[in-house]
Amino acid sequence: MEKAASNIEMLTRKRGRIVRRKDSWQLYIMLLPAVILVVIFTYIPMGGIVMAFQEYKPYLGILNSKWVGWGQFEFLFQYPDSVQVIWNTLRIALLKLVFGVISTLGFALLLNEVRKKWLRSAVQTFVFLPHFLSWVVLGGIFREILSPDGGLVNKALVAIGLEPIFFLGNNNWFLFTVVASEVWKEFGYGSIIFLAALAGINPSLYEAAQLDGAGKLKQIWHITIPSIVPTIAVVLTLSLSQVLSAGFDQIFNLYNTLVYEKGDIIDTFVYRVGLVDGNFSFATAIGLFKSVVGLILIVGGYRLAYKVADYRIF
Amino acid sequence: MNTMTTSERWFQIFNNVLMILLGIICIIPLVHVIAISLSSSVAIMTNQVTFWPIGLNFFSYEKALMDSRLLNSIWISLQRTALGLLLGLLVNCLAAYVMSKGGGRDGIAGYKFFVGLFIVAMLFNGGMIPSYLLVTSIGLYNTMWALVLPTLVNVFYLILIMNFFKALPKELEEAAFMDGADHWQVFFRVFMPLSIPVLATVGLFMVVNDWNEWLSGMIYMKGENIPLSTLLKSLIAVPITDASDAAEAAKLNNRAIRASQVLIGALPILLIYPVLQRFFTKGIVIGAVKE
Repeated sequence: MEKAASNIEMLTRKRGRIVRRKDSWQLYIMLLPAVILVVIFTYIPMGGIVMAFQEYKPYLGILNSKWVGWGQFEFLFQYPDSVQVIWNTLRIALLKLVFGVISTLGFALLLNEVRKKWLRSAVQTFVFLPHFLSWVVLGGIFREILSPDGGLVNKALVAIGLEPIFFLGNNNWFLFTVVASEVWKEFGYGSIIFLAALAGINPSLYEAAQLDGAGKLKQIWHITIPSIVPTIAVVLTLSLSQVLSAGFDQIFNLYNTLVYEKGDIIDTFVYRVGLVDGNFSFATAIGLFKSVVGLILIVGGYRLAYKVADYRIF
Repeated sequence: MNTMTTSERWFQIFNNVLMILLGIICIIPLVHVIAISLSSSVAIMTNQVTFWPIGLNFFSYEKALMDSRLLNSIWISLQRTALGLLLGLLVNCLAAYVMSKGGGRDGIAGYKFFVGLFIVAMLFNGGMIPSYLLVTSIGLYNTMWALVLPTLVNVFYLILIMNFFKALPKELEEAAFMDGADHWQVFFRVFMPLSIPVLATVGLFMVVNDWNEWLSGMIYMKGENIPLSTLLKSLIAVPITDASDAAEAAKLNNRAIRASQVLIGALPILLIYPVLQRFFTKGIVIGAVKE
């Protein structure tokens, strides 16, 4: 009886206010750990952003350090190294974006045409694997196979009569290696989202097209591609937000002083300027520039994805 | 299927071969490094090793595992991975449970505020330097918590779990509430047991991320507290020269030892990969389903 009464009570509203369950206070306790952690480790550091407008000295702290306004940012856009680093980041990120989408999409389309089920799952097992290996491990592996003396790849190049290439020591080849190794690592895993979209296409469309005498290519062009355009749009727009993070883990594990000219990116630069050289304010300013541009792009991309493909997170 | 033209048949053959080649390309670097780690010093130095060990021996693994730093770092990595998994699942699932209730009669006041709190945290952060200064200033420097706490709440996982919770049949929790259960009981006795697929998926992601993560180990930890991935990062960069005598020096090969170190680092991932592979495709699709 008591329970029935409280149920009725739950359903009533007092003066337009929602009357919640009596034990709803428990929900706040359940939410508390996550909220505390987010506030401490994400929101409090956001306050540290004021350092970007200061000449921060560790012994003075944030409260007493000298205020320099936009000084760090003026320096950022005049200092040749940081301008170079911004261009490097954009170059690497855009190359990765273009070749990444092409390779993932192409792979998904071709894998979708494989009729033998066992072959399909065997191929998936192999191509998904690199995604789960860390760049520390892959850095070790690539240093070995790309080594100019006796590395597997150079051995193959010499065998077909070419000169060995110093992949990780030459600026242009480093750029190539970074993009190629990223494509190699992610094309399989990235294809999951396209494969899911492809699996959702109504098979009767293909049957109808076959009856009309459409060949394989025509079917792909007129049915497959249009059906997954929304997915492509979502992937493209959401990855736009990555144009200022060209892959810290990867670059940091592959680069060296020889290839700073084209291989140094914002995040590796922030690491060296801030944590190695101790220039906290300048590093924070660069980091802030990156975060703000990234935020604008992700919000813009998200809105675009919502408009184009009706994509929403919540 | 019954009416394949000749050109289609050729396409099928060509496509199958291409797919097999792509599959091979994805694992061949790994196979080569495994072969190197198991080959004799002479075979490696004369560049004979390709995909099969020549002069099979386990010397490089013995040498790598004799290093007490490596064993110690494995222990640190195991601890941080276990802590990250247990606490991470608990904290994210609890929050996902609350957020799945929304802001109505069954939910909480201020629901919209908390949505905003999590979304902004997902999109924006203070960056590397302020985060570093915070972790060191609250006394976490060189403690296990510096590796575990900063990344514990993951809004992406939270959303994945929340969407799964939302899709569970409402009748189950209503029945439990009727029987006098409170939120904790419903969470632990109804939601958790029903959510094994999404818990497995998210849990496996957490294990992979924590095991592979090396940057916080590098900036927050020192000496004996360095996790394996961070140690590997520094080991790969320097040559190994500590052979104890001439006989050992002849057997010792930098490339073989480095290969074995790298493979020891990858081993847990390779071991859980078969389970991982079965779960993640399913889990992502489950979590992505919305009402």
